[in-house]
Amino acid sequence: MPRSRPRRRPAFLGQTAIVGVGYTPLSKRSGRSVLALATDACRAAVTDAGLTPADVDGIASFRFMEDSVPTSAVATTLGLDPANYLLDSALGGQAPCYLVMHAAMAIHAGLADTVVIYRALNGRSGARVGTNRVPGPATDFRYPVGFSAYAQFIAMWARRYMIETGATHDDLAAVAIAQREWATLNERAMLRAPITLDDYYAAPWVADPFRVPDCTIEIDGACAVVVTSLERARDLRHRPVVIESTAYVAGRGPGLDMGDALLWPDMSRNYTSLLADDLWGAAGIAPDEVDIAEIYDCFTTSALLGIEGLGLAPRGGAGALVRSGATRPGGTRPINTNGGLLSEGYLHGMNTVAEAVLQLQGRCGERNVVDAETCVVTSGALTDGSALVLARG
Amino acid sequence: MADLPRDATAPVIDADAVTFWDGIAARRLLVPTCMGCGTAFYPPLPCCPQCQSELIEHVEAAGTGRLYSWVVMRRALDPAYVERVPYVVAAIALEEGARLFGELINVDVDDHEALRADMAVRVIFVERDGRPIWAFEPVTS
Repeated sequence: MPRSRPRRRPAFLGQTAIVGVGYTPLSKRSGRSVLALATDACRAAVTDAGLTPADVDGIASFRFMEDSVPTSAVATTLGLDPANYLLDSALGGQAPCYLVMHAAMAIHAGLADTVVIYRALNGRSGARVGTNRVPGPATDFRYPVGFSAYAQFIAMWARRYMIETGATHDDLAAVAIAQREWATLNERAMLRAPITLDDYYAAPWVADPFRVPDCTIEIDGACAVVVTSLERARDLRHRPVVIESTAYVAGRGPGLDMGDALLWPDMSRNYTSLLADDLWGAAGIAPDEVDIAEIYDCFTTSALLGIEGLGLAPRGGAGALVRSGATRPGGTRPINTNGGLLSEGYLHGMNTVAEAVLQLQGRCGERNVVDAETCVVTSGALTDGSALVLARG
Repeated sequence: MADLPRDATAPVIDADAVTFWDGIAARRLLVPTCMGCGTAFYPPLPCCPQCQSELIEHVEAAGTGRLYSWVVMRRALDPAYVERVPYVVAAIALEEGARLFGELINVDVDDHEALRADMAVRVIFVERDGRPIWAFEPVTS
């Protein structure tokens, strides 16, 4: 599905970099305020970059169903004096790559010098996005018919994907199993015990076609990254991770809210199909040339749709790719190297970006992909979303 | 979640959707349809999403459609639906071209042969939480 209107190459590409990453511990009950989590992750990311909060003049974040704190709160705790750039998005998992894009634009345009981007939530001990009633103007076409939760929305897309492509539960299971294998190498991951095909089929249903291992694990925690100019990045602690390409797209009829896909023509394809040409075109590399892919995976099929949408596998071929072992540790096509949202935990894709940065900086220990120079990252699962191509600077 | 209705199944009806819900109260499924280009669509919108005409009329649906996708709920993710479990919620492509979510009833949720992609279904009105609501059932020949 190519775009009807080709995009000009954005001028800011290649001019900015991600220079630091910060995490809080991930848990099922943090016992801390969301503001404390956000502040800690942002401070950790700034310190990781070799900077101090005095070097930061911008903050961006996103929250869904009021599950987090606004950037002004973090500008307050970090003592920004002043902040020149605060950006709050009401997007959910579509936001992380998009906010990196916006920070890069703002820096290139001279509106900000250094921007920290965070996602912070008590997503387990507080309101749980996965099963809550997703609000919006189209709820009267969902709540009365028993269709209220995010897990159900993605499950509806998943079924049509399976119908259209012939994908099977074995394909879904393969994603969960391969990513868990990565998670065994990631001390931060919430779920680290390997799983087998038998384990997958023995797990309870959540929303058929999804069983428990098809679903991300909801957690408390926060993650942040720092973006600055490439010029400044070269003097900092870690190797810069250059923002080589980025794209956001909402396809025609994105819907009135996150659960409204009634006008979406084909639920077996998501936004990744629509932004791939712009993304790879601006990056100047082809899908088969990228070293790592970190694909938004709130559910197993979200990863499969993303893999196919980006052209990392042919239509209907993502399951075969994963079953081949190529995406596992040691494979030729490493995907979701932290275990993904499925196993590391649901920080709504902020940690998907962070993992890409850590991989390209060579800081992932035994799970680091050898000589990785480029990584594609996506944010979002449905009618709209964003992506990045990052490169080792 | 304080802004949400305590009764999750009660529709929150905005001005664009009043006519549709009046139809449901009368057990009639109406399809918002553009008088300019003929596009039928859900949910009701202030203008046609295809040609932006504001000449929208609500046309009674033939009541037939195809099963586009479905989710089988063997446990309730929301306490509002505990009494429905097990149930099937489906996306139905109506004959008019619009797609609509609704319960798929009169099917055996454990019979994997019972639900097939693109199978023919028809609208049937049921009571849920004391209110009439549309649902769908397989068309058996």
